[in-house]
Amino acid sequence: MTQHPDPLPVQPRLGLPDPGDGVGLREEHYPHLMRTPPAAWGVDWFEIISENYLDNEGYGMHVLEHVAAHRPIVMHGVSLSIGSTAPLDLAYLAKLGALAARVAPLWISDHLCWTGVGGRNSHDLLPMPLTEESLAHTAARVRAVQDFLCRPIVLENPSTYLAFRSSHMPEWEFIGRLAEDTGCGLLLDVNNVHVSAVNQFFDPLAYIDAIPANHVVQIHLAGPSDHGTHLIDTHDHPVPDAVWPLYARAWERCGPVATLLEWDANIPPFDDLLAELAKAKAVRETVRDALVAA
Amino acid sequence: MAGLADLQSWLQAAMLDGAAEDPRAHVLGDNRLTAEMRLGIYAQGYRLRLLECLGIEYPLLAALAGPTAFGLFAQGYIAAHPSRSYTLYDFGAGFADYLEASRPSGDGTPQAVEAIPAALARIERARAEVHRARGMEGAAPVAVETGFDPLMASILGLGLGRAWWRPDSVRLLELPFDFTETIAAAERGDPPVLPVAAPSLLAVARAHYRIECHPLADWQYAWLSGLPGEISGARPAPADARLDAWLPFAIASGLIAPAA
Repeated sequence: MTQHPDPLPVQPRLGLPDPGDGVGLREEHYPHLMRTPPAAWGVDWFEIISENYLDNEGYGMHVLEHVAAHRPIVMHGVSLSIGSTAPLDLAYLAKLGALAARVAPLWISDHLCWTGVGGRNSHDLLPMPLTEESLAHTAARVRAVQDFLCRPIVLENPSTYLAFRSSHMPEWEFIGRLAEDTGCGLLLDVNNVHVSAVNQFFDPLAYIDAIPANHVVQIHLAGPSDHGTHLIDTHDHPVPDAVWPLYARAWERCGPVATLLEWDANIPPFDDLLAELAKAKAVRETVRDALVAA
Repeated sequence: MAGLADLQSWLQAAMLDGAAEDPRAHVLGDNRLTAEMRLGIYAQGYRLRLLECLGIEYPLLAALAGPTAFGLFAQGYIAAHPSRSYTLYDFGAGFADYLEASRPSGDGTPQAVEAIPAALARIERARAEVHRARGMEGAAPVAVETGFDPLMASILGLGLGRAWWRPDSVRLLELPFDFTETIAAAERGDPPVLPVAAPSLLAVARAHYRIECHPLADWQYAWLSGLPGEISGARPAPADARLDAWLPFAIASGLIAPAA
């Protein structure tokens, strides 16, 4: 039997930078960003929804190029469909690559999910059956995408509302093994951990504790909507109280690491967004103080 | 046990087509949320997302038709034309054609009230396309030989010999209704106004990233329609005093651009 050498240690964040605290670039804030000097934006970096800027040469691209000239950009997609059994959409990947060449993102991310099969797109982040078959299938596609884009991709844990009967491992094991197997990065969305934990009855701290910290290159914060029997990941509320302890634990394990606040509906004025983002800094200071005291 | 491909096909059919055979065989449920309810969260989210997408792209139609009728239009379209693109921008592209094909015949005239939704949808889709087009904002100003910019040259009658083309940020529409007041009322924030039942010609164009609808005369529409969409095919304007007088407006509105 061939003796393999020990794998090289994974650099924190795969060697990717920590740009600090960011927010999503949204159309509602274009006027503010275009009339405000970049020095006064009050944010370290921006995340774009990649699909909003594909096939778009209009004002949105004009704003993006202005923003990208002054702050780091991360491309965050929703249509990679990395877990789908449909063939990879090479035309889509080519457009992602072209956009990346244009805005030079720090990294390109999407979700651990699938969005459709048979040529149809649900535009939803659908859950994976957490099986060995799924893991092997998804890992092969992650490698193919990384080869195509010539960079590691970063995958986010999605919010889920159902679990398949055939699943036989927890999501944290699935996504952790996927990262360690393929070398991809992880975008740890602590709001999604909260949403899925409420919906699927698991311990959110156990999820965060099990994630391979060296692979985490970014953390997402957001606010879900409460439907009584379940939570839905709507990004239309402030970050709920239950999510901040998860952020603190994630920071303790994975920090320093890029933090991003998502807000996609009922979008508040930019200054309100910054005030919400500032809470993350306060949480980190509490974590730091606790570590120092210990 | 179903494999990955089978499970994905099953879940998609359950979500998109309501074909949820035996959910409990595939999905875990509990007293708080049964397997059927969990599937329903995804199915409802799918329809709401696409409905919202159409509402954002077609706000005038949504306002004019009202939520019930617009909801019926949208739900019919969602069922008949599931998204096949990576982008929601493509999803609404066929809405006007769907509305036209599925409408009752009405009184049989082009101005039947039943024809209003499709006609209005064509304007709103044109706006969406113009919004994303490359346009002329990023292009370097083209100076004529005199050193004037094209607008000033035309105003001064110096650009008559130039060749012209139509930027990609222009859409030309031939409509069975006149939506001038419908659009103006929406821009003022007034309640929706029905269009006038009279044929009209319209250009949707962008200048300085601002999109506007311009009613056109027959000769304006005919000339713009004949212009190429590429600078390489630019052609001179014919000798026409009306055209000479209109060129400055056409340039300033982004309807035409001069070849260098």
